[in-house]
Amino acid sequence: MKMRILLLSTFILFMYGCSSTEQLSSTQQIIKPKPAQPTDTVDFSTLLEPPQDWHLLDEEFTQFRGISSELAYRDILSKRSPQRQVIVAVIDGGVDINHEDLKANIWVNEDEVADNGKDDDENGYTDDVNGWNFIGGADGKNVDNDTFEVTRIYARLHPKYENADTTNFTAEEQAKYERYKKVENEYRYQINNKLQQYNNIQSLEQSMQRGDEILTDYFGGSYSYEELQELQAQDQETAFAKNVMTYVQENDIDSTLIAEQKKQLYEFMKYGYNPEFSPRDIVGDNYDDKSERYYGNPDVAGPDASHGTHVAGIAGAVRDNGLGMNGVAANVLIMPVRAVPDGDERDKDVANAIRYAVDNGAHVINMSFGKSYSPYKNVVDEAIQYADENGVLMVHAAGNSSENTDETENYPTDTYGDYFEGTTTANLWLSVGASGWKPGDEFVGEFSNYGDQRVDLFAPGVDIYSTIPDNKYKRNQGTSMAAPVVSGTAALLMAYYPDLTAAQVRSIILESVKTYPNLKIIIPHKADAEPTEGSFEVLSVSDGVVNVYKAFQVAEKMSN
Amino acid sequence: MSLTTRASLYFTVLLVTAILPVSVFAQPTERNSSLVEQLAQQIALKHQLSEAPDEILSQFVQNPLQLPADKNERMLELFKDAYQNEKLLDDFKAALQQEMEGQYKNEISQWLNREPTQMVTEARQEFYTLQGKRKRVITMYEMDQDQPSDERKELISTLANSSSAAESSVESSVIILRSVIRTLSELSEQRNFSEAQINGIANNFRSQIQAQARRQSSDQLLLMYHNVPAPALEDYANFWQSDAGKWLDKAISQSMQTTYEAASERFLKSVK
Repeated sequence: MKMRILLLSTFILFMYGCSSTEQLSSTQQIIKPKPAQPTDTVDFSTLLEPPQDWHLLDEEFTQFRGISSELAYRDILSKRSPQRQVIVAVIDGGVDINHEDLKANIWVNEDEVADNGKDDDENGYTDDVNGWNFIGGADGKNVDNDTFEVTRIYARLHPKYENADTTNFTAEEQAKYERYKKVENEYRYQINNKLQQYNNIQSLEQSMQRGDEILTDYFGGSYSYEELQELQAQDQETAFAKNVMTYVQENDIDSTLIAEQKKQLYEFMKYGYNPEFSPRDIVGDNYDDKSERYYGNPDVAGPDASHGTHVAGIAGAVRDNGLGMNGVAANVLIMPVRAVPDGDERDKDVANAIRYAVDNGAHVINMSFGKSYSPYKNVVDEAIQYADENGVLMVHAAGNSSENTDETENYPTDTYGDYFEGTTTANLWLSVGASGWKPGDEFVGEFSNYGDQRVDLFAPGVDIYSTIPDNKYKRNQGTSMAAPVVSGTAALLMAYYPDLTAAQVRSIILESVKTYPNLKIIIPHKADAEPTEGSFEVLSVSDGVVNVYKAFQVAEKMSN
Repeated sequence: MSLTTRASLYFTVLLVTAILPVSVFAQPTERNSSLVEQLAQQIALKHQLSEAPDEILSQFVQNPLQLPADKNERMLELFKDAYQNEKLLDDFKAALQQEMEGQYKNEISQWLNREPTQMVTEARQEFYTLQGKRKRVITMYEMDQDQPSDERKELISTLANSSSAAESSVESSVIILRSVIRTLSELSEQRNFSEAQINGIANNFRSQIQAQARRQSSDQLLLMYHNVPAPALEDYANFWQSDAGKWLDKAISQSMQTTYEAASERFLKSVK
């Protein structure tokens, strides 16, 4: 991908020979203002939460490493008008299209009549007024939970290879067997790991209860963190209680968090890792036919729209309406396409969701999902190629497993064919890692995937405040939150510079990132691995974080 | 009687007398062996045997006594080798086979083949499989949301009390811990534990885990037998309260301790 950036940059310089600063008149340049006074120092060491809109702020003005979009709105865009509406398809688990802060920005298929049971625009999807749901049935029922891909592959191969005699295997059969063993090991690891996690949570819960009882007795009631630190334990029990409750308080652990974690593990085991579970009957498609395209229903919210609604809000919540929060983009329409269950998305649905978005006018496709296996990758490859050929920019979350995706598979990907051996890639693709608001070595989200070759750039993805169903708002974190920051940025550029191609917008975003050349950060790592420090620059192709203000500076140069 | 006939008879008698002691001995041994196999398989002893070493191992993976990393790693490797599950199972079966010379073989054999026993032991075997581990989380969560009835808890408690599994697991852990402490003494330049100190640590450890062992055992059985109907469990508990059950419980306990003692010796020997 690094090579791709260089080629694109060269191409753009060639096309826009006047793009050097000296050749621009002052009216063609956007000069970034400096703060009138030095900003007050933020004590990041004691700050527990950043401002709700930190991801939109400018570092020089506020010290928060946001994307400078609010500064761009104030200093550049307030004097201009957007030139077109841009459609951002949000392929996700569903979007609450009635949310007060989203409703006005939801895409409407003008050629479709709601609820008349007819495919008025003859696009193959009946009553798709606001988007489509590929994981629901024609009868209106919806898939909520689904298995993980590793479970599906394990369930398919285990009966065949469980007691296989490999002595007479051909090289091809042996290769298939090796693949099964890899999947089996991964599946086994996950089961053991999740069981261990559940046991650990239960132990912590019991210790917490006991510790709290001891300390409540000791203090004669409630106690503060400071009181806890000053406590000089005289016996083993009190020392135990102090240690446990200090850990609990320092890590913001409470009964709600414990209950959530336990429920998540329960659902993983009941559905995600259950080889006997399949909700596909609900959809009623011919699942074996991966080329089948027309199935599903028009319910774009589905049973749990919390993730998709959060993602949609980051990119395109209505701005300046006095409600909740502002999306990154203005003049944007969100097209919800439901394809992601609670579990791993299926290749067939992902491919169809991409095609639906392209065919119905999306300019940008946000994909805040991913998985480690893609057994029908060819159908996804073909859909990605289709989007690429039709000039639709695809923005993908790099994933939350603290891994280097140069070395570890993460799907979907822009590389066609084999993940490691493939030599051709989609052009209109951006893979996004998550940065945080703390300026030190914790700048990168500890969960974020990274990759000098495969992650294109970073964007804020920690403590991001956005919309959730039922007119509510919440902070969430993940590369799922970082991707729509980039999708919103792309949409904003496209709205103000309608003549730029998707390739140019992509190139502008990558060229204009804010870099941190001397920044040392803790490389994201698994919980059981030793933390190591490294340069922020080695984590992505562009070496930086998306910046709207700088992007407009580059776009302005390019457009003149 | 012709000489040939007499000779033939002589050789037949000789052969019979020569073979008889062997076959008399061999027959029960085979039966013992298959009974031990059946027992080991049906009550999932292989998995039970690995529980205590796994538990102790997980405590020492974090290197709590701060051995040099390479030494700690070496110790863990030797530990894994000495307490290897297959070796433990072989030792256990050999030890139990010795115990099985008693009078309850037929009773045990019949009990193992009864339907209620099989219902319980199938649940026991499944508990340790990969899918059993997956289902454990589901059951733990569901039991958290919807607590088992008092009758069920009472039944499980009776079952837990009718065998010495909890006490046996405490003693097993103490044997294993002793071997680890002795090894640490061998490997560490800073820490050297006297026999009195090792006894102190072991006693302290015993008193700490003893208090929880019975409750943990009940919790585990609640989980393990979650889907087993009460009558089958009652039947299972009745056996362990019978003379044959008590005898078998003791035999299993003793065989386990013999097994861990042997593994402990192996471990210490490999370190030296």
